[in-house]
Amino acid sequence: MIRKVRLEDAKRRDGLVYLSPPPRMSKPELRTADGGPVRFEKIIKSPMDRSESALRRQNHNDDSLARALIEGDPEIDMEAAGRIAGACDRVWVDPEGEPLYAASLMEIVYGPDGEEKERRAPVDVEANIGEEMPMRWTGRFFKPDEIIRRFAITRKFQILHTDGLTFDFLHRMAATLEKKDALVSMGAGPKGCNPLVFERNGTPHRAFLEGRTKGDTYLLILHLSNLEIKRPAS
Amino acid sequence: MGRKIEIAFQGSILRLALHRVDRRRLYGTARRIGLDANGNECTSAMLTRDGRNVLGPGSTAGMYLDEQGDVIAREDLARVDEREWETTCDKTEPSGPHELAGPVPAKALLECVAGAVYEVDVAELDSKLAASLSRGDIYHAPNIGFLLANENGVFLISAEPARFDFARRDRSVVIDDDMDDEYDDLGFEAM
Repeated sequence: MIRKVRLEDAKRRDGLVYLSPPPRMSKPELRTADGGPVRFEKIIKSPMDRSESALRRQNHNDDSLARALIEGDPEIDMEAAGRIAGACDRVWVDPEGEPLYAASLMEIVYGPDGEEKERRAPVDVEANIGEEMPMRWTGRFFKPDEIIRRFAITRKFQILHTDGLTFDFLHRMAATLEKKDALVSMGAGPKGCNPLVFERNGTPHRAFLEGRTKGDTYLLILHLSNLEIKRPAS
Repeated sequence: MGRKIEIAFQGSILRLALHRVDRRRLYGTARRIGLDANGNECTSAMLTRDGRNVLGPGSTAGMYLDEQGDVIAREDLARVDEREWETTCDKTEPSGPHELAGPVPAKALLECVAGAVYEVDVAELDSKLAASLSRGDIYHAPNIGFLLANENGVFLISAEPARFDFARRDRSVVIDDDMDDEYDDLGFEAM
């Protein structure tokens, strides 16, 4: 999805620009063998109250469960099986299988070895990029070779102008980067030293801006990484 | 759990064991759980909009339906632009022997989006290839990915190209809120 963000240049001037994903990254359209349209749907197999654990709660031993399965097919909900689930809301369900009206949340932190390190009250991390929160030019330049050896580029966005003024703004920025033959690290926060967080509780991404020009056109690509290229400690 | 791939390099076939590197193994992870009034751990589920059904893991199956609502098996589906898709995307599942081409410039990898990173056991590399990689060369195996080395070892980056067009002054941006693309989930993972 295309979104608007504020972008700052080397002189700390900012403008509102578009972030656009690569056009060819969307998945191919699927059709039937004779070219007819298809749609993907989630079909209900069996609701939770017909699951094995639910049936075990209702039947206290294996014999009674086996008898119930043979006599009444309680694992099949004739009303629900085969129906399209459609839009759903996410809920918490207690150990008895009942949805909760309210639940308290806890965050469990695991180390790289998979061991539980900590249990704590969840702390929300707010997005630090948006229309009012600029993505900042750090002034730290990197050669492409350095970036691709240190970071896996897992996301990319094209930066596009929103009007004539930002066209000039972005064209200049692309020309600056092309002349340097390097990518500039982009950051967030008051000093621009924080990794980018696009959404509340989102994964922090390191960002590198690449620029090229061709006559009156420009290309600005924001390369994002949430993964360093290194061996896990274990 | 690793996987093995075969690649051809200067006439010899190399069998490489790959071990995936992911955020969980590098940095750890965090998981949010819900607790009921008694402090019991709860599970996350989906409630249908009519309120009739609570759907847990395994309660649903994803299926393709035609206009009549009949199920179409995956093997009977056709891609609309299959040829274009095949030529523009690398497959993320490495399989079979593939010729290793290169060295390629760093920009070839920079133009791609990484789908997965794998560590490669250096001991399994051909000595010529290992020496070339240690000098900083980068190799590309079509449909598999890019092979490179850094101070931490040798890695295979499974990647697919992302192509952008230069922007003209008069280009218009169409904002479609319903546009279906995988970037909607950017950074949604809790960590």
